[in-house]
Amino acid sequence: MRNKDIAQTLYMVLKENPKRIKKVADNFHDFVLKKNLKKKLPFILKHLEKLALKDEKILKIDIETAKPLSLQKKEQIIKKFYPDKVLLNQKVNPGLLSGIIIKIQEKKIESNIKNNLSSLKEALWQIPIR
Amino acid sequence: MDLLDGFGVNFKLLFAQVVNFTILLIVLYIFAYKPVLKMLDERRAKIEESLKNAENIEKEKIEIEEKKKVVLAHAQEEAMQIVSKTREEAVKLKEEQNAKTRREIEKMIEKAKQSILQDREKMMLEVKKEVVELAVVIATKMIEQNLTTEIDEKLIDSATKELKPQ
Repeated sequence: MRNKDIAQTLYMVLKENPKRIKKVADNFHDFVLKKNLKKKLPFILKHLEKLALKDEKILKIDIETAKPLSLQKKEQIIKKFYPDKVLLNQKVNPGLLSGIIIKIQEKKIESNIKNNLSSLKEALWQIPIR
Repeated sequence: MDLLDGFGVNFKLLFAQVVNFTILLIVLYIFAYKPVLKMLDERRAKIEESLKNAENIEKEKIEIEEKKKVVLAHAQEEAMQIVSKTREEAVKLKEEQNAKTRREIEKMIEKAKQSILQDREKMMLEVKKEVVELAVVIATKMIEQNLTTEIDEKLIDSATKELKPQ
């Protein structure tokens, strides 16, 4: 059974039994142990999240910034997708030095110093030796 | 007869002496002259044979000498050919050896050149790597010292501008 199929089945059961989430979760836990799916669990849950977001028509945006993002900037990003529902997942990474990384589904937008330095490094590598 | 008597010749004695002499001659002829003649003939025949043999030997000697000369000439020619061939082979072998040595030296030089080039390239890459790393470290330090909120906001705005509704 594929991870995607397990996730889909679990999502359907959860959707059909919204008031028995705990019971469904316990049953799923037993199923994972019985079928020895512990290693596959993160992938199954990722599929489950995707299904839920798709079904609820929620757009998940992962944001990585050097400093915590201001409310104003968050709103600025969310406004771009209005009237769609947006789930903003933010992470602070001082390694970026400055700027942001935005991931929406398969798309990735990078505008940060770390990325610029990597480009600079790549450009320097491209200079031929004489 | 009287005349002979007048000279004191005794005819009978003379006759007897003639007879004796004749007998002596016959005896001598039979027992001495014939064997001597025979011996002389044999001796002559032996000498002639010896001379003939000597002549034959001389002829054979000359023939042998000629054959010897021919054989010697032939042997000398063969020897010359062998020496010449050996010399040619030696020259050829030397040339081949020289060519082989030259090729080996050329190969060694080429290998050394390649090795030097590879080492140089490796060294240059190491230097380049260090220079690039150093440049990035310096750039990072300089940027870190000059980072402002304004720059941060500009970078965020730049990314936000690229966002398009799904």
